[in-house]
Amino acid sequence: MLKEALLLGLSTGTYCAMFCAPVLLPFLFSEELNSGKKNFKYIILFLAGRLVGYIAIGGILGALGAYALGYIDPVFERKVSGAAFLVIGIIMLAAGIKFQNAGGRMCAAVSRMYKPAGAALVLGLLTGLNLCPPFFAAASRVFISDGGALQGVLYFVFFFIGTSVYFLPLFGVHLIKKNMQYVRMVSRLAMILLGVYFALVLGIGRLV
Amino acid sequence: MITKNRGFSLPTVIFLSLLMFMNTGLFLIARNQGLKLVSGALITAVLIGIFAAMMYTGNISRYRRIFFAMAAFLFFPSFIALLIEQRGTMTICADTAIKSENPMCHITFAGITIPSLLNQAVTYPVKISNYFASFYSMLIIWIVATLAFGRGWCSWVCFYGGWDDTFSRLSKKERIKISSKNDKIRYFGFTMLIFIMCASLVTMTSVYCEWICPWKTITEFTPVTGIASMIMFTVMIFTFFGFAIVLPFFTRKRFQCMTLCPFGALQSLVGKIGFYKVRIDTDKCTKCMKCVRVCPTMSLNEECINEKRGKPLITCTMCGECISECPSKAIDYSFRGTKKCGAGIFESLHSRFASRDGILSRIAAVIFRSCDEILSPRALFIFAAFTFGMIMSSGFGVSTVERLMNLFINGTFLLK
Repeated sequence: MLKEALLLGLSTGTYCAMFCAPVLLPFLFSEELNSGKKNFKYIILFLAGRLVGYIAIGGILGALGAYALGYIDPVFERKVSGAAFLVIGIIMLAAGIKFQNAGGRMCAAVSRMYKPAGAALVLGLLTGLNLCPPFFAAASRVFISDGGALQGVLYFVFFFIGTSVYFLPLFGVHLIKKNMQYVRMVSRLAMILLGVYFALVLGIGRLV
Repeated sequence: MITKNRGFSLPTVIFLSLLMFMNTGLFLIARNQGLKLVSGALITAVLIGIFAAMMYTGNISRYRRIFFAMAAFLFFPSFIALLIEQRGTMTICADTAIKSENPMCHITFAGITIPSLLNQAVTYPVKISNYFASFYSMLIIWIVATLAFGRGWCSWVCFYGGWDDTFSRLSKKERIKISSKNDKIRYFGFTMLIFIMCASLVTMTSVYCEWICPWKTITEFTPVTGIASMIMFTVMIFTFFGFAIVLPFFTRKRFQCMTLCPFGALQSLVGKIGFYKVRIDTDKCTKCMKCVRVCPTMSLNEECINEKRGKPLITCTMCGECISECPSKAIDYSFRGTKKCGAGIFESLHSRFASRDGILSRIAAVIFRSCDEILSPRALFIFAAFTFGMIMSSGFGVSTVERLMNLFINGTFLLK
């Protein structure tokens, strides 16, 4: 079953990358990645956040077993996803605002509160909770098998390992040096637009 | 400042105009009959006339603008009429979108290509325009155009760009000044590109079409049925009037193309593989900065000129404004990878025959001069770009003129 989880992650990982890359890539490009160490740290924190989310979901679904079926409905999924996107949007907005030299009180306050390492971790956790199609496939396998919390956790850990392969190219982001000041400027502005879109359209829009 | 001597010789202009007539104009006339034949002939005559005037006077900017404005303002009446004939309305509901009856628009490439490939589903097989504007046909057109003239698409082919291009030239002076050092505005198109690509990936929809596209105002748009569609409608009206009309008028910049269009930003990136580029001869340049002031996409700044980069910035749309404006003729089109702006292959032969007496020598001199001009990057670029632009928009132009004639004769703009 664990081999199956690994293969499921490998085969559907492009979907996971599709959901995570739009959050992680602008984040990485907007930060001052002077060394590979910093880039490595942020990606690991993001993946750690995702892993925590997966373990939590795996454990809960495994423990609930067939009872979980009662919670997996489109309305519930929409609400969870909406809440996750609302927080993702707010964090991305904060990250984008932090880098704007507007000189206002809001920018200064956001700048004080915002910590990139913490943001990477939370963004990872929330994208991990985002119920994308491969996630659903893994979740249904866990609660149908009725193998308990531990098996659920292990299933999701191996699923996570399979999907994480697609994040490997991101470890080379810091190697991009050409025109980096423009890439950074553009990414920071894009973070603001993405933050607004995620928070309002995909967040509040799905919650109300 | 326009310069007659930057134009081509009469034999060259006649030859290229005839060639243009055969490879595009003939198709607009040959297969048509009745009103369509008349409108085809009219459009062909006007476009070939514009092309000939552009080549003869060397005033690329003026005649390109006329051509571009024609493409833009003749496109939408026939497109709207086509929608009403086939669908009965300009609005597009979810059902129509799911049945893929809406035509593929090149601007959406940036947003939908990756989700479509990953999802293994192309969302635009299209019914309107006889399946012409499908995903694959537009993809092929785009690849060929990109290879041929890179971001030149945005100034020669895109029938939307004519709107802000025209409005950016209606005002004689910049009423709102934007510093040429303002990188945030200059590169905001790339921000939009990242935003559109990321948001479209997450939602698997074309976020640009849904939320931002100003051109829905003159093509097809979502009917207002709730708060979300009301917001979409408001944004659409705001972006159309704000970015395609008002801001270009006050700033004399192509604001929509510069800041909103993700396709323009994509073209800036992939356009580097195009055959042609705009080159600045740093030896001839007198640093008068006229080109910086006149550039509608802020693709030239003081740094570019002072640091002798020899080329504009990545956002250059090859519109030819700087070429026409440069008093020292230091800017011109050139082949990528070369420093030469002229062909110069037949120069020695032309000089040899030009110095001799006799009618045959004169004819030979004229022929060699024309050959040299025809093979120059400027002639080849303008010919390729104009041909492509004509192919892309003349069909709609013919249809609009035909419909106008039908309106006067039969009292209706619709043909069905």
